[in-house]
Amino acid sequence: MTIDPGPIFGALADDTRRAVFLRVASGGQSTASELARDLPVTRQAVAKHLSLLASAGLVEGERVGRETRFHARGEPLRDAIDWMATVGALWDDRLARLAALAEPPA
Amino acid sequence: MASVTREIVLPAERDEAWRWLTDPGELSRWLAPEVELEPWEGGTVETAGEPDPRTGIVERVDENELLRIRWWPVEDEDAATTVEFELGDDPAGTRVRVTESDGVPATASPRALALA
Repeated sequence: MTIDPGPIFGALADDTRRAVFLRVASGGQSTASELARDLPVTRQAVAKHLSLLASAGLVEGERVGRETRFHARGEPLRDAIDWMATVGALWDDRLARLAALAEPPA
Repeated sequence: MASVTREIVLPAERDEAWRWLTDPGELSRWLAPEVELEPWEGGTVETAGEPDPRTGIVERVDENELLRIRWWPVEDEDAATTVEFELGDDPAGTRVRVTESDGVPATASPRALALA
């Protein structure tokens, strides 16, 4: 496993950024201007959040005329879940071996 | 930050549980087929004998209390993660809680967390 799920959860740790992501993911609003209308932050702030979400791979922008429309991408979240499942299974195996080692001989 | 936590209770005293977590010979019986670990802060850790050999450093050692290492797949330091073992008391022996995460460990200072 060489994926790095860190930026994904970091990107979603901020309340406003998570609100931006959820709105983009649900398909209602897709440009910085549209999103700013609905959120208590400026268009510039929304644009920054979108840029950070894009660098974490959670959204993707597409230039349409004078504006950039964003849509959500599911792969990074799936990757993060895969990472947790894989790492969890490894520890289950290791700790089962440790527990067996620790059992006093019958 | 993604993290995974597991907890078990070992029927053993703290110092015995600590030895299982820090003695390379004991670690080689459960963590990975071959384990090298220098149980002091700044020491190295290496695992081998399985599909994902890892290398890393020991970040924190509080004897009988806490061991933290940072490790990564050999030749891929970008995929480094932190593993923290915390020992605690339990009526049945010693509780071991292991947390593997890709970010700042839970026991880091509030300042470090604020910067993360």
